[in-house]
Parts: sequence; C-alpha cells; structure tokens
Amino acid sequence: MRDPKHSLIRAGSSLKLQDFLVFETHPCCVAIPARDVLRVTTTTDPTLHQFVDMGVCLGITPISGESASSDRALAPMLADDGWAILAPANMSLVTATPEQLLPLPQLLQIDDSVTAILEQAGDASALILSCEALLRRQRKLLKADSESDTTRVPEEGKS
Amino acid sequence: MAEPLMPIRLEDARLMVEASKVREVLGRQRWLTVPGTAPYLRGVCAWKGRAIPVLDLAPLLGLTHDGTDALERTLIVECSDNVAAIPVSEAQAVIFVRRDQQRPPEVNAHRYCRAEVDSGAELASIVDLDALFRDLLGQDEGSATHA
Repeated sequence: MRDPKHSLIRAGSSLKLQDFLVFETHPCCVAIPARDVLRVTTTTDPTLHQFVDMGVCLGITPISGESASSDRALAPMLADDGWAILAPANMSLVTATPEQLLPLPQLLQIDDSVTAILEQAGDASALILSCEALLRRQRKLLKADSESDTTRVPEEGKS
Repeated sequence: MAEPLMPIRLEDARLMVEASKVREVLGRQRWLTVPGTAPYLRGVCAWKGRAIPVLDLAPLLGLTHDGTDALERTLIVECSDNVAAIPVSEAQAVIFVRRDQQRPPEVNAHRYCRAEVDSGAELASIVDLDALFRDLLGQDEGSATHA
C-alpha cells in the first residue's frame, strides 16, 4: 500500500486528492479511505486475530456471490491490536477530488459508520465508511454478546 | 387567489404538489441504496454537487406499490432548505387551482393530504410537503394535525 501521506496530496498539484478502496457490494458499493488502511492482507495473516465483517455490520453482501467473509482483510491503521476488516475480493482504487465527496443528507445519517457519499460519473456511487466507527461498533457488539452470554448461563442451568 | 400546483402520478395515485417547492423535474435517476434505512428512503442520489435523499412517497402516503408502472420522472423538491428527490410515474405542467376548488380530504385521507381537487374526471390529493419534511426530520411541531 502506498504511503497515505503521498496519496492525499499529489506533487505539483494544489488539489487535494484522496484515495479510496471501493468494493462492489449489494445493495450499494462501499468505499474505505485508503489512508485508514495499513495494508491489504488475508485472513490468514498471523498478526490479525479479530475481524470485523462489514457485511454483517452494514447489511451488505458481495456482488459476486462469494461469501461476505472472503479471505481478504484490511488492516486499519487505527487498530493496533490485531483487528482487521473483512472485505470482498473485488476491490478497486479510486482517487477522488473534494468535489466528489458529498456529505450525507441528514435523513440518511443513521450512525457514524457511513460518513459521506463518493460520487462517480454523476452518480452517488459508494458509501464512504469509517474504519474507526466499524471497529467501535463491532467491539460494542462483542461486548454485548459476551455480557449476554454470562447472564444467560445461570438461566440455562436452571432449566 | 389561485395556487400553482404540479399534478403528478404515482402509479394509480393522482397527487399534486406545490409548484413553488419543485426545483426541477428530471428523468429517471440512478440512486444508491443505503442499507438499514427506513422503507420510505429509497437511497441517495447526487444533484448539483450534493447528496440528496430519494424519498418513496408510497409508504409515506399509505399507498401500495405494485411495481407495474415505471417511475420515469424524478421531482427535486425543496422545503425549508431540505432538498429531496421523489421518483414518480408522471409529472404534468403546473396548473393554477383556486382555493374554492380545493376541498377538505375525504376520499384520499392519507396522513399528508392537505386537500383534494376534483377536476371532474379524476380526484387528486394535494401533498403537504412541509408537514412531510417536518415529520421526517423529527420536528414534531404541528405534525399531530396531520395524523
């Protein structure tokens, strides 16, 4: 992966460009800022031990019919503890100008995992996701799961 | 005094919206579906360099979608600085309807029907876009009168 600092501002240009990893998913494409990604690797990467499935988090599925938990993993720069985001294999790199980044309308601000829209060729083409919010959401889910497990055990024991 | 209204059709439903709130009438637009949103939100589309929500009027007005009629037109409407796209089957030229030609909702007593207009051949309901946007944006002020 390129040095994210170089991907943000291109030499000889005053225009701030931003790179995104765009994934073809259903019902919409999603994009992750390349600057948030430390490296693109596989789920067998020994340095990774916790995965966030963006399909499960957001209710999206890969287009090509492959499983949501494909063997591609994005290690976000924010996660220094072995967390990574599972991503579909069909990925492309898109460089966007500031004009292509459209703020999410108020009505569609469901939570902080979707930050904006990436416009391509006149269409609103992909939802821009926040790695940080995805990780935070997954950690919260895991915590809730583990808490419900510990409260469930005595009840099961009773019956 | 006559009010400028734009007659629209959403499949079988004859509706009217205030012409002053219609910014543009476009052809069929592509939109991006946003997972996890309410049924009345079809998604988001780009318009003049901004992302705007695409609203589905059918669930908001209690209408049923049979999907047989293509939504070939897209209204871009603006209410209190909020802009949204509304796909419809048909949009017609603006007409001027006098207040005494408008009657209280009886047949189309949906939540956002402000009044009805009987042209003789067909009955159309005037959609109260202000109330609709107010409810969607969670500003409950005045919404009880439309319930």
